[in-house]
Amino acid sequence: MSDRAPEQLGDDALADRAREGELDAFNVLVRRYERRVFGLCLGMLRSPAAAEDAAQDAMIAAWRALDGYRGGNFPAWLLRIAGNRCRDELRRRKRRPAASLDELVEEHGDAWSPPDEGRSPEAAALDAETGRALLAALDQLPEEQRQAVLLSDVQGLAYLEIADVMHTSIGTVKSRLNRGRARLRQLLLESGELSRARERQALQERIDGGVRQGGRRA
Amino acid sequence: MTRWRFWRRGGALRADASAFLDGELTPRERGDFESELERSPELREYLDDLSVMRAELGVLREAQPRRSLELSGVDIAPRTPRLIAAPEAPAAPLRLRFAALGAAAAIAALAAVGLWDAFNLGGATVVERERAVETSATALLPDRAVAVVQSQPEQQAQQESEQAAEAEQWQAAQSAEQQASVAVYAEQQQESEQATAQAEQQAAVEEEAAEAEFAAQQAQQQAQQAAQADQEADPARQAITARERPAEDAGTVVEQAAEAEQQAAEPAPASVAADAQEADGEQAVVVVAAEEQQQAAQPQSAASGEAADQSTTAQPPAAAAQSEPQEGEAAPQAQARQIEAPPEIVATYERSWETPLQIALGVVCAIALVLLLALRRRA
Repeated sequence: MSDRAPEQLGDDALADRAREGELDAFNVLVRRYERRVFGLCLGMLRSPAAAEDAAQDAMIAAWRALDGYRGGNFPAWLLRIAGNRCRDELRRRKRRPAASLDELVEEHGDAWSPPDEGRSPEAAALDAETGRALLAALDQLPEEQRQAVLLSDVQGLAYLEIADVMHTSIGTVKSRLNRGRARLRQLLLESGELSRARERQALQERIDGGVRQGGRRA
Repeated sequence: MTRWRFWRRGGALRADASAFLDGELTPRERGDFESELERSPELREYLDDLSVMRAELGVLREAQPRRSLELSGVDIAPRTPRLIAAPEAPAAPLRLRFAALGAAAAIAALAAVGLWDAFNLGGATVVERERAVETSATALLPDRAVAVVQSQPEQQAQQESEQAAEAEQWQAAQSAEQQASVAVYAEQQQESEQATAQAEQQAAVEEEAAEAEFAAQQAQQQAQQAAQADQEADPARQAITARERPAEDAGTVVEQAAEAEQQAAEPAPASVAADAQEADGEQAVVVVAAEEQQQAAQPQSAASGEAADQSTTAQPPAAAAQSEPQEGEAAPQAQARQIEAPPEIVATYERSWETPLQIALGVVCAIALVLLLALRRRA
């Protein structure tokens, strides 16, 4: 067993320690990947509270299933467990459709907003609006396409990792990504969110260009 | 031209644009796509939209849970990796679904049977059953009949009058049948008793004749023995008595035999006549009881109950006739049953109180079925 601090160990070494019952080693892995797991759950479930519950359940399930981890890509293995939890939750919602998610979000104020660290209130509000529009559009995609888009565009996984997480082939991942992105683009065009996003990006590029020119003059 | 090419190969080009954005194209595919990208502004626009969308989705990359997801000792149970990693089987909900369907089917069948039994008991309609109940109650069970008549709504006064007329007709027919059956039974009983008495008398006469003959033989033997004794003692007296005594004994025996034959030849002694008179008396009692029943069994009268009781009390002669071991016993029993109240009408009256209970049972079952289905939808 290594004498290094757990934070300095790799994923597989921490998983070995956790498999031997060392909870602190596993919690290092949790802190390392909790944002990614939560981001996937938020994109899948749209509700922050439900996403936190699903992410917590995924962590507990990962702890209990550590014997099944063969090494290799720990975040992909963890995201696979989280994706399965989210799909279970979505199936449960289909069986018991108490109310639409829009109504739940509006009633309980359970709308997600990105953290406003180091940003102006206007930028934070803009990001929050963009994030909610994106979540609403993602919610209309089929589960498989939504998960593929999130794993690729939010989590930044390669096609092979996505295929590993989703238990499918690379060709299927390519197809799901293509259809999901085309559908998402159509939805954002219809809602006008895509044109606003273009304007924001153009403005941001102009601001960034002005800042760079000012820096050169200075 | 380029627009036409884009839409003709749109699907493949969009897939290539998605893979180009992710850096998943091979170098040759990438070269082909870039050359196509230079020629097609629509393809460039599509690729720009995907880039903007991807940048916007980066907002979700900053998502952070409001609470830490670190595990504590409470969250950790003894690890059962294989059980936890196994996919959740939907067996339990499926079993629950089948169980609920089975229960619903059972309740529906019970409700159907109860309702059928309530509205179509024994193939009779409700109206027919109510009429039968009212008639039987009026004729046989007066106190309950009053309750049944009082329970009928006033709106059915016309139906009640029709039912009363039908009840009168039915009672008249029943009384005529009972009277005829009682008369036939009395005649048959009288004939059988007369035949029995004649047979007994003939047997008695034959027995007396046999006894007289036996006595004559004994007297003849005694006379012969006495004659022999006299001949041994005094041949002269013996000769005289031997001529006189047998003549006297023989005369007595001949007289007795003649009387016996005369008695046997005579018809119907006094005891037979007495039996016949008793039979006539029983017949008269039964006929009087039937007549009283007919007179008293009028519908909607207070005396109908007494008539019903009398009709039931008219059974003892019939029952006594059944207890006598004589020929032709089956016919009197069948006639006695006709005198009794019709069993199917009594059974209908006894079931009459079950009708509301069965309807209530059916309604309860139907409500339970609806509740079960509602609960299943909610679950």
